[in-house]
Amino acid sequence: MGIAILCQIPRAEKPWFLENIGLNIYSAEELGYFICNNLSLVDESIVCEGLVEWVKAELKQPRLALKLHQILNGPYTERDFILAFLKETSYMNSKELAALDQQLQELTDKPQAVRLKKKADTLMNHGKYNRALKYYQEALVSEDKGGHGTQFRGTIYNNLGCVYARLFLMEEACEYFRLAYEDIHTLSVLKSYLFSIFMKDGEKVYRQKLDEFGVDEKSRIKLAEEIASVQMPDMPENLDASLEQWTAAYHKSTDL
Amino acid sequence: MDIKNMIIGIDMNRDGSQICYYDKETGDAVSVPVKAGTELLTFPTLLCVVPADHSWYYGIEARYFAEKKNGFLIDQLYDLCADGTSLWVEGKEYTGAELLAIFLEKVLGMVGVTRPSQQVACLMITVPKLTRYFVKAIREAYAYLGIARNRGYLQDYKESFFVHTMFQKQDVWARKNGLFEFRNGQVHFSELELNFRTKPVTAYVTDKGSAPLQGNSEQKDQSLLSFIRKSLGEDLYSGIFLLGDEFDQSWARESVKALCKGQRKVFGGSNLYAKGATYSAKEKVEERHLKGFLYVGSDLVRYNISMELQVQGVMTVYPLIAAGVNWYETAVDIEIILDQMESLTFLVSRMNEKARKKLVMELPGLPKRPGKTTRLKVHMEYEAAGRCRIDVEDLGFGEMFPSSGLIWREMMEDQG
Repeated sequence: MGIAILCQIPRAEKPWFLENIGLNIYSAEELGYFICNNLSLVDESIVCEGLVEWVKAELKQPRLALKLHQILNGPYTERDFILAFLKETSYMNSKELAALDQQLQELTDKPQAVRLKKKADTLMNHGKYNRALKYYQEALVSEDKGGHGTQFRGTIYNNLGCVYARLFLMEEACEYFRLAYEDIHTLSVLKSYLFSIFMKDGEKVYRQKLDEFGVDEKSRIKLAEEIASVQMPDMPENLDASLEQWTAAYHKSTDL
Repeated sequence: MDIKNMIIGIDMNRDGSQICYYDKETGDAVSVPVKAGTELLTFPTLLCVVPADHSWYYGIEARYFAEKKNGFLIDQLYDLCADGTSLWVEGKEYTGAELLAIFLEKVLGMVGVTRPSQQVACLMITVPKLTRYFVKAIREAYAYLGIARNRGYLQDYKESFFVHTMFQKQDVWARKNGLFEFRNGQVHFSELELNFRTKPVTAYVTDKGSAPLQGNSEQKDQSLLSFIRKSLGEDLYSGIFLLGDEFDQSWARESVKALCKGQRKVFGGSNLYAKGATYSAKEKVEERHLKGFLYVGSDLVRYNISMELQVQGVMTVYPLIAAGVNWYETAVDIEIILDQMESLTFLVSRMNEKARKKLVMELPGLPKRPGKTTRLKVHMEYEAAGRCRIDVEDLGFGEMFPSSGLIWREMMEDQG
């Protein structure tokens, strides 16, 4: 059975801008929801004096602001800050808070490389590709991998390939898919590589690569069917407007 | 500098109006005469605007300027407010509320109030009967004058009668009280009864009928006497109030004798409602003289309305509207967040009863969103006695889940 929660904190007139994903937040509950669903993005861009000021000025919560300020000025962890905030907003009950606390603890206990990868994954899901690239690269060079080996590295390469492909940087995408396939010998990764080759160099090179990687006949037919199933998009009625929209979306994803 | 020390009551009806203020030195409500040095308390409920210089006048002056200076006379101010209509005055449309604000601004000048927002601690307007439109007009007029909701009030005549009586000595209201009101050639009788067996003590004012008063003095006296006997019967009354300029002891000798029987205390005057309004205003801001009494008028909300909500992480029956206040004093706004819910359930219980009924409000078309990402604004307000309006607006959830713009409305009718 569902429930309804009483909102006890007024909505803000001026939003808090979540820099990581370029999102305006207008209420304590929105921030609570964002945090709960994007724990890996909780960093110094949220746990900061700027947010404390916003809580005081816009959410009209001077007592909570003072509490958060005191946490920031002591030997604090991001977990302390987040839990103090969520507890006061009444967005979650004690059981949910306890579960979240455990998730925060588990995340904190993970090696730095894993935390960076999770952060990059989340940013990629939000379409923030340039930022995702940064954290994937940091994860690759991080010395704290906690014993994670080639599979972990291959996954990051694969994800880097995906990010570059979404940015239409096919040269880089092909390179990372190739590196990913070296670490993870799965058909899924190979398919990503081959499709990116198709998009970058055309069908002829794609066929050469099929031979080069020894793709069997059954898999070739399956890949061909998949390529054939891709539908050509309809030409928009207002091309200029669509172009503007696509450009804006691209810029948003690249922070340009 | 804000002084906010004036406690004021205004009686306004279709024909005439009065103003009273609370005198802290004497501890009583004082009526302000229309002209200094006279005993005339009632001025006509009129407004007049003189087009030449766009100056406004009220009361007696309004009539003078309309007749002598070609002013535009507004003699339906009361009806404009009661019906929610507007009026074109010299090429401009005015709502009843706008005209009422001008009228009140002028009337408040009688007690030296020139800056209502800064000088009025509490203002109570009393009218014969409150309609939804009248409530709206008075509220809007208060807003125009800068009088905040917790300083501007309204009540009907019956409640003013109740409060006026309760501010008399206790032996006056120990038993029933009667009010004979003389207007338009008629006498009207209403009765105030207190039930001391309930807690709080409940008070009821009931209309008991009217009779014409015509003919010469003797005939009028006989008509009134007959009406008094019929109205009072064998019941015990501790106080009788005679209201209106149309009553005069000179023609009512036999009637007065009948009224004074049985050690009843009899009072006469023309300012009972204005004084009652002033006492109510005082009650609102300074005193809790009526604590322990509940006036059960036709405007009283008799149902509690609540919702089961998660508050501070704990499921709680959260009160929205509490029974025991007048319908026009009820307005509540809350915002809630739904978690796996597609409708709202209100819990309704009768005053002083524990049993609750459920009223489910469906929200058709509410977008499907993840749990805890639908924020709704719930506004509840009684539109009239016994009829509560519930408006629910989908606020969405910021930029993550924009509002659908949908608004739902439900009317909740009291069940008797």
